[in-house]
Amino acid sequence: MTDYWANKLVFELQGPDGRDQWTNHRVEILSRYALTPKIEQAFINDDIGTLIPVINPYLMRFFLLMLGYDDAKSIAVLESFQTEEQRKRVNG
Amino acid sequence: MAKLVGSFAASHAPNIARSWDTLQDDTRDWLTTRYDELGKRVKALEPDVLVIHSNDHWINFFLENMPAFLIGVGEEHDGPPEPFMQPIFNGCTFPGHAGLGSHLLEFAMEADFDPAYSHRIKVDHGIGIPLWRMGFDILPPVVPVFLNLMEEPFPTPKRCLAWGHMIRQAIEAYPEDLRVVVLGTGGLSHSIGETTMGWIDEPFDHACIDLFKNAPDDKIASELARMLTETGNGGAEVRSWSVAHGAADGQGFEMIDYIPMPETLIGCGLAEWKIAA
Repeated sequence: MTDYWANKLVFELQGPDGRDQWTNHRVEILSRYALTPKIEQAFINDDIGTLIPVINPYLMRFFLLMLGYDDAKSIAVLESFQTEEQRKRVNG
Repeated sequence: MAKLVGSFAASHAPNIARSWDTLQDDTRDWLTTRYDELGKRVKALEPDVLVIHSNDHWINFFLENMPAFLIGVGEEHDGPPEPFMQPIFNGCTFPGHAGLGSHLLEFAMEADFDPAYSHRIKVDHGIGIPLWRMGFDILPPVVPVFLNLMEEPFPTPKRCLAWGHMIRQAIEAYPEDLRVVVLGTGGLSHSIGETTMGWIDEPFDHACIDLFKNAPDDKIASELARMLTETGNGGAEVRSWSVAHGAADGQGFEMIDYIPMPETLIGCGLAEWKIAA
């Protein structure tokens, strides 16, 4: 289910100072968006598992890059939330 | 009258640009030689205009407005704004072709398609990477066409094939003598920002190639509609290949090359549909 405000937040972090803003002004940034308490807490805790179902995957890809995750770490983090069905599909 | 002289498709993975200097030599050599070949073939056709179908990557559009199809009708477009594209294009602009772009828009509306349009679009890596790697000395004017392949629902493969046929008819109805090349960018399989990220679905890629080689439109449409529910999200971009296939009226498909390329997270493919003279 797409969460407009969660996606909006990530979308607007795409500027060149996004990482600095997120690192140093996270609470202030979160206050600008009408997030549910659950999603707000997920952003505070870097709780990727809660964010995956509500954030567009391409914005999630950007979000992980912004957090400083390289490809291998992004893949590992996301893979930890794979379902058994997804695991079977990927592994043939 | 204008004439479609070539139709092509090519992948556009961001890591081709983002990681260019650190790619393994074999990967960089493969990309260099294959995109050079693509560029050689396109340049040999002496195109006056490139009509490039790609998808926006959260650069121009957000959830407030997600057009299924959008045609760039401006005289000029902005270059890629992504930080990893800055060393390549350095804030430059891309020449558009307002006459052909506006004609494609009006023709599409008359043909019962309902695209959005833009007088100035940001041309992101989806268009920028293939153009960069093809190595034009002077870039021909570009009519960018965006498909929504970011946030579902997406245009169906059937609709994308029909769009491609319509684009061919529109080009050939344009009164100015122009040599036009259609390019569809994206794909082949990849999985981005989802739990299967990094998955390259080779059976999907080979099945797509076989469909473009051998199958009629209705089979391509139905098979892709099924296959796309079972592969990674980036496979959606094969719709841009479907547009190129439709523009070529389904004839003359030739795979330039394909390789699963984990460093760029994609099944990397380049193809040409030879247009009969």
